[in-house]
Amino acid sequence: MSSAALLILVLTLPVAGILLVVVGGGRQARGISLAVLVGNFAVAVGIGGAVCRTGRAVTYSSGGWTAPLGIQLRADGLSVVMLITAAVVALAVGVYAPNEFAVRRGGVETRRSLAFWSLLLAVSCAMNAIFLGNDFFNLYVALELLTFAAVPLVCLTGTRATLEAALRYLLFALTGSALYLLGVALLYGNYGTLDITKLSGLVRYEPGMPLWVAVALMTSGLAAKTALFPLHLWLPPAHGGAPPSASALLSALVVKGSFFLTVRLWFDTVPGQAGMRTGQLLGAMGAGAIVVGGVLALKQERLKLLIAYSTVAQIGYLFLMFPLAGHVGALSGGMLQAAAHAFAKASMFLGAGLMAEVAGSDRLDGLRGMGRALPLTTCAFVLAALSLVGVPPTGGFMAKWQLLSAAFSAGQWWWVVVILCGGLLAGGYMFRAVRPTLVEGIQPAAAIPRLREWVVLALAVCALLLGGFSKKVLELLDIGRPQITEMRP
Amino acid sequence: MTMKPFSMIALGWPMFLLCGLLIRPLRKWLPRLLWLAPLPAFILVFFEDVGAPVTLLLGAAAALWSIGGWAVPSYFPGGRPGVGFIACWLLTLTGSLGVFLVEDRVGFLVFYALVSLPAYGLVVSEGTPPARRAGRIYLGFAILGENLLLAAFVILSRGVMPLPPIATALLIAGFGAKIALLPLHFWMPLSYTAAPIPAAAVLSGAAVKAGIIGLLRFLPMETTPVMWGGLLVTVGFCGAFYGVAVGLTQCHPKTILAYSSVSQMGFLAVIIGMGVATHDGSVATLAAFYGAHHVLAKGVLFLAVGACAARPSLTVAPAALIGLGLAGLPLTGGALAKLAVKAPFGYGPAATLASLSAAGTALLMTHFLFRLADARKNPAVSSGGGLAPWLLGAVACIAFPWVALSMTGLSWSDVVAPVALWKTLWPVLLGGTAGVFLRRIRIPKIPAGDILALATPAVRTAQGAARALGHLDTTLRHWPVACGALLVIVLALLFAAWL
Repeated sequence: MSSAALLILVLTLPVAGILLVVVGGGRQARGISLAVLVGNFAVAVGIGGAVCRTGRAVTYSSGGWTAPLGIQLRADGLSVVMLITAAVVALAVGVYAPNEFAVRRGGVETRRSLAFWSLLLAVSCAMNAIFLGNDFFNLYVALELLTFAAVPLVCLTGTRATLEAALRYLLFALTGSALYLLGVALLYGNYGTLDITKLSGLVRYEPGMPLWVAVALMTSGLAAKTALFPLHLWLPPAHGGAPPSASALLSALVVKGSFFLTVRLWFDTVPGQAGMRTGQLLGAMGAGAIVVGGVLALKQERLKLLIAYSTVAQIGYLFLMFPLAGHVGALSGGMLQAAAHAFAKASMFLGAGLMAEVAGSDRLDGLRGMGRALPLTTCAFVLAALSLVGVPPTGGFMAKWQLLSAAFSAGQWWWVVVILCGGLLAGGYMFRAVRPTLVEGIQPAAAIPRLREWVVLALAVCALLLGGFSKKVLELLDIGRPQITEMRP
Repeated sequence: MTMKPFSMIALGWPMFLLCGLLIRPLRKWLPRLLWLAPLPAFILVFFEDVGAPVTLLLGAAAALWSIGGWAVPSYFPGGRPGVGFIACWLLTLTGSLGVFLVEDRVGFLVFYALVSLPAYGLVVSEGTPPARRAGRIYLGFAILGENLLLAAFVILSRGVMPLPPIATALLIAGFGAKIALLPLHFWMPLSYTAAPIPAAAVLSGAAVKAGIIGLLRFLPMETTPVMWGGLLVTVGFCGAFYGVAVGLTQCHPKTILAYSSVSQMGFLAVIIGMGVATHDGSVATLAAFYGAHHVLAKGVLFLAVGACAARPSLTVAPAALIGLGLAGLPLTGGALAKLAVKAPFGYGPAATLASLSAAGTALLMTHFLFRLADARKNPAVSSGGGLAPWLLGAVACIAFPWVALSMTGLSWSDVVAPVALWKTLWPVLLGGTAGVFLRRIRIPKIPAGDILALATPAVRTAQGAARALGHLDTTLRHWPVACGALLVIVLALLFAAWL
């Protein structure tokens, strides 16, 4: 199969899966979804292989029509890394989830089960579309698909608190979409195209007021959807209240979707065009996220809320790449952080789910003795925490290394201070999360299938391996990048 | 990570033993096999050329880990520490030996993290509230050091020459947190007092030398600017005397030894600083020789604390030989170490200060010996375990410097010359006499961790700040505020980009 066809396949496969789930009903949903997710992973790896082999971005123009008439899909190094990350996390969530959302043999089919599996596939599809899209309107459609798949995931249990959290999320995310769409309309009105490659050529010759209004609108809309501080009002209740497998998807993947679009906008569309100050502003919000998220995570009494606030803090690191844009290590550090955080955070949320199942609640002081009750999960928990803190040789460490290196070469030492403080805070809150699990204590006996524990561990090991193979990942990230991203803004 | 093939075996072997924890029948045997874990690294020293400083430090560290590992079962009921303790022991051991063997920077950071973080499990293994507090403070310092070094190493790997001053400062602060340079020292007395005796022995002897090898490797004496040497000398001497002064106010033998470590590590920093100040690379070997003696001496003195309840006669006298040896008692290994590092000090005020700090060590060690003799009646301090490992360690500690003497360029005839004997004897006499007199004086008590007591206002401020940030978060998560913030961000981005 040609590599361009793989790009189509990775979009159509989850859609076909959703349709089959609807036809097959709740009973078959799990089998169909797992098969689709395995296929999705295989195709993502296939695309990765093709990009690695050729050393160039793979593109596909639908119907043979090139941009601006047709729709173009494009997979470069960034897309491939995120595609594979998303595929691994989605597959892991799929393998982990059955017990939570399975229909017992002879039991009654539930709305929840059908909803969960189709939403899981929808998230997967939307993420793929975001990673491959090369046109801002298509990306808008993908972004909306992502939001509408993510919001119901928050309120799967249907309790009052989760409904409220979901509504909060929905309203704020829609405000963000509106801003983004406004920006897109401005771009189209001004340049007559929304194709990223074409736009990046045009804006170099005629930048101006409309461009910056559009960029400001789009960036703020995307920041609202990413829950960048101080726009994080919806994240803690949504991520802290959702069922664990949904939290893992939301924290690990969904926030990365809008972040990825921001990267496309800043690094691919207007690289080196915006002044120093815009980058500093985004970086400052990231720094605020790191500090406030970190301190708030330190104060939480519930494990899932602690992890949710740690997401707020970790998102901050992602936005440090904007002030450092143009320096070696900024882009790669941010993307490594996105991938490492995805693995580690998914592992933590899934692990927290298992612990809450055993202990009956996710209060931190109720987690004593987890090391004996769930040894594999606890081990995974420690590994994931190490990656989030940035201890060598994990993926989180390599990401920090890259970002620090960029900060030093830019001579912007203040980000170094922020990153180091963030490391200390992360050490503190992760210690609070991990320590009770390692203390002796008694937990009620609960039959947790070993497979679910292994999934949690596998995700944490992925975060660890990302550090070990960071050289390969960094090489991959460079493929298909326009040279301009590594120039001074 | 790059290292020689045999180094990989030496470091893979303890990891292999660690995997043994997964197999239930093996789990019960593992505590009795801990002494085997560092053996490949110990053998490696004899036939692989890893450079004189590494040979000395690694050899001593591997020997101590082995002796300490032998002592572990006798300190736990039924000879079986928990699985967590064994895992942390093996991980820390791997890190402790790995920092000497690994050749690249990222690898060094990996093993440095390994020698720092899992040691938390050793510190808190008794589970008492003071142990937990000590563990928290220890871990905070470990993460702080790790972060400072991360920043320093990122600058190092950018390859800018000459090294920017900030990188040198970060290196000194990062490694200083590990070797308890003043004022980053207060975690040390807390953790060594809290840790079980064999753990305290290996942490104080072997693990702490990760900071020393770091300073030796990444602060090359030939090229580092002289002023940093001056700084190390100053801070080191402050630590050397401060450790003695506060150590004298302590009662618990383990705490006294910990303050002695603060003092000794300060003195080692002085030696390294002298090397930097004179741009003399050969001082590295001398510093490593001194450090290697300290590995064994401090490690086995901790074991003496444990063993003294069993046979006081076989404990206190050898401990006196080793303890006063640290101060330079003639013909002991410590005297050789003192003589070896005489050269870099020359004849100036630094030499006088060095002799005075030796007198301080003698004073502190006399205090320790009295406390050790008292401890034999106190089962809370001394359980009476690990007599055989202690005796082996004592022999190793006395013999080792004589065996390795040739590496320092001294000969036997140099060290038995009457002048040399007197040079090392008078500080011991001075300090020892003072120590005997001090026994009659009531000394005010300072809580272990000294300046930590002053940190309460800082903690309160931090809590206040955290509360304020909590309110900020609550405010920001109100709808009107968040929507307002969104609007402000749009405008701010627009102005920033357009103007």
